[in-house]
Amino acid sequence: MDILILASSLAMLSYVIGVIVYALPVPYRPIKKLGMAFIIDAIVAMILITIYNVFIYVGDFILNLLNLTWLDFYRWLVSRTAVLVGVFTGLSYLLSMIKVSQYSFILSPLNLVLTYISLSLSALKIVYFLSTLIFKFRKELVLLGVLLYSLPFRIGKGVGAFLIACSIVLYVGFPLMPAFVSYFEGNIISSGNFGPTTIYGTIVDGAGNYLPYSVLLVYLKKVSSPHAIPSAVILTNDRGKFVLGDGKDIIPKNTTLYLRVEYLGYVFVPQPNEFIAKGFKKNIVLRVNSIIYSAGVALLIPFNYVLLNKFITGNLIDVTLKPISNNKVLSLTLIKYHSTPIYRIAINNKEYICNWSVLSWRGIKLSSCTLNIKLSNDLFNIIIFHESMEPKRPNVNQKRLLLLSGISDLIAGYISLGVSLLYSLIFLPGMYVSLLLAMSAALSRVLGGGIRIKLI
Amino acid sequence: MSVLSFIQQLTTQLMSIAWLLFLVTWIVGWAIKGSPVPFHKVKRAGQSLVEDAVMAAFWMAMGSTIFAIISYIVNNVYQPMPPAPSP
Repeated sequence: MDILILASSLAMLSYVIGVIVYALPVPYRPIKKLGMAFIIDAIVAMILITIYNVFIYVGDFILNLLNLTWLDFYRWLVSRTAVLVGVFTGLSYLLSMIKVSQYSFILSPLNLVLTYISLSLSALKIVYFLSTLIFKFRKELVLLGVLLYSLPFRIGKGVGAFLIACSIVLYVGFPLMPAFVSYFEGNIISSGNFGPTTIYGTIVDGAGNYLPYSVLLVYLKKVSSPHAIPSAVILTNDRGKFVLGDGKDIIPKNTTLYLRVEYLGYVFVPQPNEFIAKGFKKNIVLRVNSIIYSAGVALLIPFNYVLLNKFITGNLIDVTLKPISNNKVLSLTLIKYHSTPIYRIAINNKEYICNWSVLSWRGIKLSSCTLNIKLSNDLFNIIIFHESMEPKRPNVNQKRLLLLSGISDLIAGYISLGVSLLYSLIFLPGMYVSLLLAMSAALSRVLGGGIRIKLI
Repeated sequence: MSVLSFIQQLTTQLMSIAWLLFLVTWIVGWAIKGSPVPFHKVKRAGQSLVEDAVMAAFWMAMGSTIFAIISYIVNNVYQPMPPAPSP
């Protein structure tokens, strides 16, 4: 509040100076008018000083009236930044991958997009800076404005009024920016070609549990032979999740992909096994019905049996199978990590002992055994007790899908993405900020300042 | 000496100068008006100097009163702000 006292002393000084100029023994009308103007300025400055609290209140009042908060604005800004950084990282990854492939000729348009995105990031930085300045130093700006306004000889009148107006208009204006931008960018996003094909999915077993570190094989035509060379080999993560596209693969739209799942040395046909790549898809589930997996042990279900009941925990498989045909021989294959201890195998409450044979799959040592059981029952209840094991990661040389016909789509997608980001993150906020500044200038003229901002 | 006291001191000094200037202008005004010069324009200039001097003296005398009135009115009008309505 010391500044307010200083400002009021300065206003008094300006007033006295005004009186002196008015009282000068010079019979020249413009000098008298100037003195009168000084006096009036001092009086207006004094009014502004006394209603300082109103300036602070007005901003909060309007914000509450519009039901807006600065927190929401910053959340919006952070989500925007996250989107940009995500696209930037994905694109950088793609560029580094393309650099070493035969498609290096598309580097320059993609570099252009990268430039757009870095430009958008810089623009966002300016918005961050301006908004933080207003949010943190609003009261100080009003004080400075009032102080400058009361300086003698109308030195800081324009700037002072502009600062006061800015602190009100920008304080209300910035939280309104998300509404403004979303209103104008809505059509762009819905009509635009927003990036290339991206598919997120999970590979699960017959019981619906994910298969950790399973291998997804992608073919471009129907395969009958298990030795066909896949167009892409993708390793899922420890929760069975995979990503196709998202800057890692180049897939043209409407391409039919034929999928297989390789797990513990076997190749399975998942459901669904055909997929038309189109736009953005998430939560695709590829179900491998002929395998039941439980932390280190897998049970292969023969094709002529169906799963009726299942109870699977970390160290127990308890399933009931029913034959589809009139088949009284159950050929059951068990696979486990070589180091997984098995405590009990029981089929219809009868104990069995397996003769394990060792095999290797992509650097993981496995054991497998096959039990051929003749049974009189219609239903087979199988119980396996074992030690719970952490999933092991196979050595897979991942091969991503790069299709030449998808490149034009990709470039078009990324360029339109870059342009829409440029539009929604540089053009719209830039226009909005200049609009706010123009409004501040208008308000400053109401307060007595004379700053004029010409937009064009 | 702080900036505040400097400004206040300057204001006081300028006030006395202003009073002095009022007297000077007033005297000069009357002197011009009463001078034996038969030009109407000169007389009118003297008259306007006297009028301006009186007006300046009026503003000078009213100075602190005007400022006091402003703060009085604002303090009377200004009530604790009600909470902003929420929709």
